[in-house]
Amino acid sequence: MAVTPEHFNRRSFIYPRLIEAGAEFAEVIDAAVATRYPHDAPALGLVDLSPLPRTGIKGPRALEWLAAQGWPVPEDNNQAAHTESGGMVLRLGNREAFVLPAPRGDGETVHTLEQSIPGDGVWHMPRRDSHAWFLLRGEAGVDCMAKLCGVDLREAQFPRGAIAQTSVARLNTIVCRDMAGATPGFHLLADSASAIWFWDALLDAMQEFDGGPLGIHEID
Amino acid sequence: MNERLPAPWGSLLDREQPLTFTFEGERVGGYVGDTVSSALLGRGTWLQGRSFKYHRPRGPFTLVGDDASCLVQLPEEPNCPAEHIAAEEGLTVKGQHYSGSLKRDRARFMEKFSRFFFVGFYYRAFYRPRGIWDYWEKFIRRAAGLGSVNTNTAHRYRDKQYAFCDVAVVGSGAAGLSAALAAADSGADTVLIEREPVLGGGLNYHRFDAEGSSGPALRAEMAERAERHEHIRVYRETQCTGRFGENLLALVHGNRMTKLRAGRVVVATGVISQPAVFHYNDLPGIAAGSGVQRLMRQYGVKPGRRAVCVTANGDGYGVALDLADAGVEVAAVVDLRERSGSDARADAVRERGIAVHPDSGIVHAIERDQHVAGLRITRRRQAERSGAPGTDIECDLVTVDVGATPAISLIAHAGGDVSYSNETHGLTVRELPPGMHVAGSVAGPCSLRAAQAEGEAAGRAAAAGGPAALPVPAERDGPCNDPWPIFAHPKGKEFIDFDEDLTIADLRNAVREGFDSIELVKRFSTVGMGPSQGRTAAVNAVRITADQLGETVEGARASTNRPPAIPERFGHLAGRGFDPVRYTPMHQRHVEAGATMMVAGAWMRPAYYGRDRGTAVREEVRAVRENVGLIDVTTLGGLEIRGSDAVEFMNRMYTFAYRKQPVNRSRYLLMTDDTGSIVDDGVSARWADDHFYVTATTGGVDSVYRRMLWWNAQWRLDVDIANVTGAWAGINIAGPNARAVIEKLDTDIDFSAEAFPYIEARSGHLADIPVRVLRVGFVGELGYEIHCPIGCAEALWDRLMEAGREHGIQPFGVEAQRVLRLEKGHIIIGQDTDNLTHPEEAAMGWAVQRKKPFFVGFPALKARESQPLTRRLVGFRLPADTDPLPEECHLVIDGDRITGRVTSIEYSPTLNYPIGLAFVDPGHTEPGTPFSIKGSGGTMIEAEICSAPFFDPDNERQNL
Repeated sequence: MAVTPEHFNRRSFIYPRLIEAGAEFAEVIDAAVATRYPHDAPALGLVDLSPLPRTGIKGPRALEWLAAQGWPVPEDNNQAAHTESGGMVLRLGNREAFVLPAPRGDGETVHTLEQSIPGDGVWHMPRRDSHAWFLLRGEAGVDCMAKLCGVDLREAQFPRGAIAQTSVARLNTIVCRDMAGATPGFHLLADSASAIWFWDALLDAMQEFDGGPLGIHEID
Repeated sequence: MNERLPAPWGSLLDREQPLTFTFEGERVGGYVGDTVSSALLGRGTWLQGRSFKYHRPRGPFTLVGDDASCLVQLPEEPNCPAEHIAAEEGLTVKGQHYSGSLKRDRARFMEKFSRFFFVGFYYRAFYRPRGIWDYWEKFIRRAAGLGSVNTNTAHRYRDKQYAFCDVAVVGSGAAGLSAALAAADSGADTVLIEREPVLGGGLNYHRFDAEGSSGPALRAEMAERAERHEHIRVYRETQCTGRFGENLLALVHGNRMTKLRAGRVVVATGVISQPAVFHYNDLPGIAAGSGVQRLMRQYGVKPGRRAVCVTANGDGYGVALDLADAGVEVAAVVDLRERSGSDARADAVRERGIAVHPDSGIVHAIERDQHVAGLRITRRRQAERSGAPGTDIECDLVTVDVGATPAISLIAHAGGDVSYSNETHGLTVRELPPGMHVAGSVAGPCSLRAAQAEGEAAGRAAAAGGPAALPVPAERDGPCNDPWPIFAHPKGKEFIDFDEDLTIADLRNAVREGFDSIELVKRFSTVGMGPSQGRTAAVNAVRITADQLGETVEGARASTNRPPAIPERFGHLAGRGFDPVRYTPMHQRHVEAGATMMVAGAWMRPAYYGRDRGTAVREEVRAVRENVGLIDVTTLGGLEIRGSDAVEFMNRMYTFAYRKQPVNRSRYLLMTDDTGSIVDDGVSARWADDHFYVTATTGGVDSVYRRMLWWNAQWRLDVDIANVTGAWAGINIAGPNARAVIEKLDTDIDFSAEAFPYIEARSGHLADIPVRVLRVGFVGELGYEIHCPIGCAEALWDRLMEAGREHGIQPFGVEAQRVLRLEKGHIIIGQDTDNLTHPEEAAMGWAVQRKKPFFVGFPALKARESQPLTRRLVGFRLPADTDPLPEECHLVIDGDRITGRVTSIEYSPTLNYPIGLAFVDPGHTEPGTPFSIKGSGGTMIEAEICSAPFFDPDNERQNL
C-alpha cells in the first residue's frame, strides 16, 4: 500500500501541497517524506524536509553541553558545522543552536539527542514543530533568493556553512548555505504555521528558473 | 511623408518581422525593434502629442523620452512615452489630452487666450467670487492628469530582486564601456546598466568624425568584450531611477525593480540635448540632432525631405553629414558661433556644398499643417529685434545642437555638487559624493578619446576602492554649449519648458513678481515640474532667472533633483506583495467542514461552519452547551518560562500570585503595563518548580514576549523565555460529553473528575501524541484545552472528531466562542478593554494580588486606584425583541452625558435574549438599573444592568 502522510500522527505542514503536486512518499522514522514527483527533477528544486527530526537547545550552558555530547559546535555565531554523517549544528547565538540531521541520514541520532536534553540551563526548543524546513537546491538558488531576501547570498560573501537570520518573503527565516550532493543549496527554516504560504511564495519565485518541487530521493 | 532607409540604417530593426498596430484608430506599419514613436515617424507622423496648457501640436524632440512631448495612452496605462513603448503587433495606441482628435484638437483655441494664462495665473484665479471653484474644478480636473487611468486594468505581475556588485556602471557609451571593462579587468564584480536595447550609447548613432567610422568600430569591439566578460553582468533596457544611501541603485527593467547594492558607482550617463529657445521652437519637426541621428541609424527613418541644422558646435555638422548621407537635402547649417573652429566635420560639410550661416540667430520658426515649414534666420545680434528681418529657409526638419546638460540625476541624489559653470556654459559637476565616480560627457564636454580615458581611469579607481576624482578639466575638448541659445520674440511662444508651455516672459515675470531664486521660480511658474522634470528646461531656466535677477549665472544651481529620475509605476514600487499568512494545522479540516474563515492577526481561523452565520452560531453554541464541541485554539500564544527564577519572573510580569501555584495546576494570568492598564491575559500551567507554560492572546503574544525580554534584560533573572506559539497547537473540547469523548482515546492521563478536576493541568499522551492538557473554562462547560506539537495536531483533531462521532461532536468557530464566553461574562482583552483600562474598571480586581511587593504596573495602578472610578464594566441585557441590536462602541448615554460604551453584544441562544458588556457610570452598576444606549441612527435603546456571568452563575458546569 502506498505511504501517505495521513497514515502518521506527524505530518508535514504542507502535505496537501505535496499531494497536489503528485508526490510519492516514503516513511522516514515517524512521518511520510516526499521522495519524488511525476516529472524530471528540476535544476532548481525545493525539497520539503519538514517531517524529519530536528531540534534546538537554548540556555546559558547549551553550547557547552552540546559539545560535550560530541556534536561539532561552530566557533562563531551564525555559522554551521557539519557532523560526519552530514548533519549540521547551526549556532544561532551564544546561547542557542539548531540541530539538523542529514536529509537522508541521522534523524534517529538527532531524535536521541533531543530526548537527552537535561533542562536546568540547557533548555529544549521544539524546532521540529516551530520551524518548517525546506531545502532550495540548484545553481540558480542565489538568483532566486535575491527575489525574496535582501542579504547578499553569493558564495563569495556567504560561503558554505554561513547563516543569515533574516527575512525571506517577509517571513523571519534562518538561511544556511550548504551543498546538496554536488549542488549548492540553502536550508530555509521558517515559521511552521506560515509554511504553506512560504512554500507557495518560493515556488512562485522559482518559476522563472523552471524550478519546482523536488523529492528527497532526487537531491543527489 | 517620411520613408524607411535601407540597411545598414536601422540597426535595431528586424525587417524580416513587419508588424502593424493602431494609432488614433489608423493602422501603422513597422518592424520588430521599432518603438511606437519611430514607427509613426517612419510613416511621417510627427504629431504625437499635445501640449498641456495651449494644446499645441508636439512631436518628439530628444527621441529618448528625456522630453515629455509624446506621451500616449495605452489600453491599460496612460502617459507612456511613445519613444519607450515597443511597437507590438495589434497594439492599440492613442494620443491623449485633446478635445476632438489629436490631429484636430479643438482646445488649441486656448493658445489665443495665452495672455490670460500669465505665469501663476492659477494662484490668483478660481477662488473669487466665493463658490466659483466649484464651477472651475471640473474643467481643471479634466485638463489635469493628461491620460486616463483604466480602473479595470487587470493586475500585472511585477516583482523585485536584490542584486550586489563591486562596481556598477550606469551608461554604456564609450566612457561607460571603458569603465566597466577596466573595473572587470581588475577583477571587480561589475554590473553595466544601459537603458537602450543595445550597448554603446552614442557609439550607435553619433558621428564623431567626418567619415562616421570611429563610433561603430569602437562599439563593436568594446561591446563584444563587455558582453563576454566573465566579471560583467549586463542589464539592458534598464532604467536606473535613483541612487539611495550606501549606493543602493533602483533599476527598473521589464516588470521588475532590482535593488542593486554597489560598492562603487561609475556614472557615465552622458548628456541630455537641450533645445534652442525661439518663437515656435516646439513645432513637430524640430528635434535634437542626436535624436535625428538615432532615428536614422537605429530605426532607419528618413526624418524629412529638407533640413536646416541649427548648431553651436561640431556635432551639428555631423548631423548634417548624416542627413546628407541619408538622402535628406540639407538646406543650411545655421551656426550660432562667429567661427566654427577646427572640426573635420565642418570642413566636410562645406566640401559637400552645404550652405553654412555663421554668427546667426533665429527669428522664428514657420508653422504649416501643424509642422515646421521653415526657419527665419538673421544675424545673431539682430535676432531679438522686434520684427527682425531675415532669411526664410523652407524646410520640414530642423535639427538642434546648441548644447547639452549632463544627466546628473544620480550624482544629485547622492549629494554631489552641481552648478552652472561659465567655462562649460552649462551645469557642471563640481564635487562628487563618496563612492561615486564619473566619466565621459556627464563630467563635461569631452571627445571620444577623452571619454575612453576617463572611463578607464574611473573603472580602475572604482575597482580599487580608491578615492573618486573628477576628470581633469584640461582634458575637456568636446562640443561646447552656446552660452545663450535664447531668442526672445515680440509675440512670445519661445518655449523654455515644453511640459508646461512656459515661455521666456513667464520666467522673467516670475522673477519680477519677487521670486528671486530658481527654487521659488520653479514653484511659482512650475518650470521643471512637468513629466520631464526639467530635463530639457532647467538650464535655460537657470540662465533666464540669473539674467533677470541681474546676477552672474556662474555657480547658479538648478532646482533640487530627487529620485526617481524618471516616472516609476506604482506597480514597480509595490512589487510582488508578500503578506505571510499563518494557517493552523487543522486548516484543511476546517475548509473541508465548510468553515467560513476569518482573519485573526496573521492567522486564518474558522468564524463558523456553514454559510448562514445566525444558524451556524446558534447550532454551535447549542452543541457546546448540550453536547460536545471542538474548537481550534492553535492561534493562542504559547511561552515557556524556565529557570530557577521562573516563579519570581511570573510574579513580576503578572498581577496574580504564582509562588504557591502547585505543579500541574493552571492559573489565570492578567498582565498590566507600566501605567497599570490591562494589556493581555491567559493561563499559566506549572509543570515544575522552575517551569511555567503560559498562554497569551492571539494578537498579544508577540507584544507579551517583547515585554518579557525587555524587562528581564533589566532584571537579569535566571530565566529563559521562549516563544513557542508556532510549535504548539491547541484544541479545546468542551461540553457535557467532552470527557466521554476524550476517554475513548488511548491515553496515559486519568481524565476522571476526581483525578483531573477543574483548573488542574496534566501532561502525557493522547492517541499516542504528546499533549499538555489544561482544564479551563473559557466557554463555561466541562472542557479540556489540549496542547500538542503542531506537526501532530491534525491527527489529534481527526481522532477526536472520530471519537466524538457517535455523540454528534460539532466543531465550533470563533463567533460561537464569543457568544459562549459572553454568556459566562468573560472579557476579551482589546475588545472589552482599551489601552487605558485598569483591572478595577474591568471588574478584574480579583485578579490582582496586592500583597506582592511588585508587578509591572503596580505602582501606577495604586495611584490610579486612589482616584475615583470614572467607568466600570458591567453586564447588561436587552428585551428579546430588540431590533436592531446596538453595536460594539455604541454610546451609553445618561441625559446629556456620555458615560460609557458597549464593548460586547450578542444574542444569546441559550438565554434567548441579547446580552452584552458595557462601560457605564460607576455610580450606577446595581443589577436592575436601567440605562440608555444610543443605537444606529440615533435611536435610544433601553438596557438593564445585570450580573455576569449571565449563565450558570455558580460555575457548576465547568466543574463537572
